[in-house]
Amino acid sequence: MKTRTIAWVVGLIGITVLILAACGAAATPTPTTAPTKAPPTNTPVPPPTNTPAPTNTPVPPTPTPVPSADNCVACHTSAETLQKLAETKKTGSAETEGEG
Amino acid sequence: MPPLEAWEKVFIGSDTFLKDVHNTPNCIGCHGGQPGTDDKVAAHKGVVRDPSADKGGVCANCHGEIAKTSATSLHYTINGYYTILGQRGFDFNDPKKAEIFDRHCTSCHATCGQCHISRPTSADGGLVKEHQVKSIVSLSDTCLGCHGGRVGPEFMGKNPGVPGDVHWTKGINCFKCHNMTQFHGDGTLYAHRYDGKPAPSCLDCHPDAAPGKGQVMQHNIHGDKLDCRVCHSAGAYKSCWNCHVGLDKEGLPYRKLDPSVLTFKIGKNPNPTPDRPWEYVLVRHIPVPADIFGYYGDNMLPNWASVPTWKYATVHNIQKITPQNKDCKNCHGHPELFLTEKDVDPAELEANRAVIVTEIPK
Repeated sequence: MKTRTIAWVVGLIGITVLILAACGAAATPTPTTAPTKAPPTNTPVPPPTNTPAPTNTPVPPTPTPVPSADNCVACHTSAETLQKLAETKKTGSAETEGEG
Repeated sequence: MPPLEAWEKVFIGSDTFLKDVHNTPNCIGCHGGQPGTDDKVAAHKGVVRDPSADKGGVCANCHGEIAKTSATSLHYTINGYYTILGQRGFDFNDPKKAEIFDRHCTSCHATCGQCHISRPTSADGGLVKEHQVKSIVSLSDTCLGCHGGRVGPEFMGKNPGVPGDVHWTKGINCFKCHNMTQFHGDGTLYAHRYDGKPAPSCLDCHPDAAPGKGQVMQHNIHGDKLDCRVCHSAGAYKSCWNCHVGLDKEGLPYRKLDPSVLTFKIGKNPNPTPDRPWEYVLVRHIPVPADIFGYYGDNMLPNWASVPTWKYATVHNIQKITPQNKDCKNCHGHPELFLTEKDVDPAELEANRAVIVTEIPK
């Protein structure tokens, strides 16, 4: 019984292979054209153009933990405090003369 | 521009800026400094006055493209100084001389913050409008902070007896002619401000003024021989003489300059190029004597005479009808309008050979 089953399966596979082979042979090959050399073309080189001005694409700042600046704000929004703490530093010489 | 008191320079009187997107990183995020203390010295430890100073600095976090090109702009590089002083022989490789240059010549270097937030350092700094970040900068505080000596007065008609620029009187301000690339750079490192095409060119708005392109006989006759300003400058403009720099007794840098003089002189174009082909241009005297750095030593500019002291000038007092263009005879045959040998200090003759007019047009 087992031998018969095996023989039956083998036979079935063989038939299937034969059918597929026959179909493959019957298929018409797709005609292909021999590659031809495209004639050289003079591709016009576009004249140099001015690079457009870079656009300003805003990139959101990466949030980084920054300590509170409440102390800065408290002082720099108070005219009274600033006047009290202001120091006038000399940055230029009194000897400077003339327009500029 | 009235000077600001020390406290006014850093005063933020309203919350407009504090609520603005530019305050997102907060004070310490941009300027550094220390939180949690009311002590002035302790709070300012590590503070960076201008965090935009190095190629845009913190501004580059959001405005990367602009920061990138701005680092090539003449406002940032001040290449004009390096180029011309270099031609005159100043040795930037000598550390002592480089320090002198830094001390006296680099306050004109502009950063993002010096245009958009504060007055420029050369105008002694200080917030323009309570730290608000102005996309359109203040003409009086910003542009004239640096260009208020010569260009400003001639443009606004403040030189006695000379009308201002017609563009100004018609409401055309700096930004209408000078486009953004002239402030933010275009990615090209120019050697000086007259390197490359005129920007702006008068012909950008007046194309029919080009020779052969319109009906105005004078434009067609003069062709490319004259810079537009030769005919259309409304009159005299400032020339300066004798700038000297040094250190005072306290070690602070000083600059001494003779009073300016109004001059109008047509000179030869010292460097005709395809972009600036004219034979004649306006020239003004610039205040760079051979001994400008004489306080520090002799012969600091060994090639001083290689660059004219009467310099090609793009004068900003344009009018359609001017004294010299009213009639052909108002200019032709008038030696007083031209820079001749007798106008030039004998000590400067060699430096100015290229601009001196030897034959007055008849």
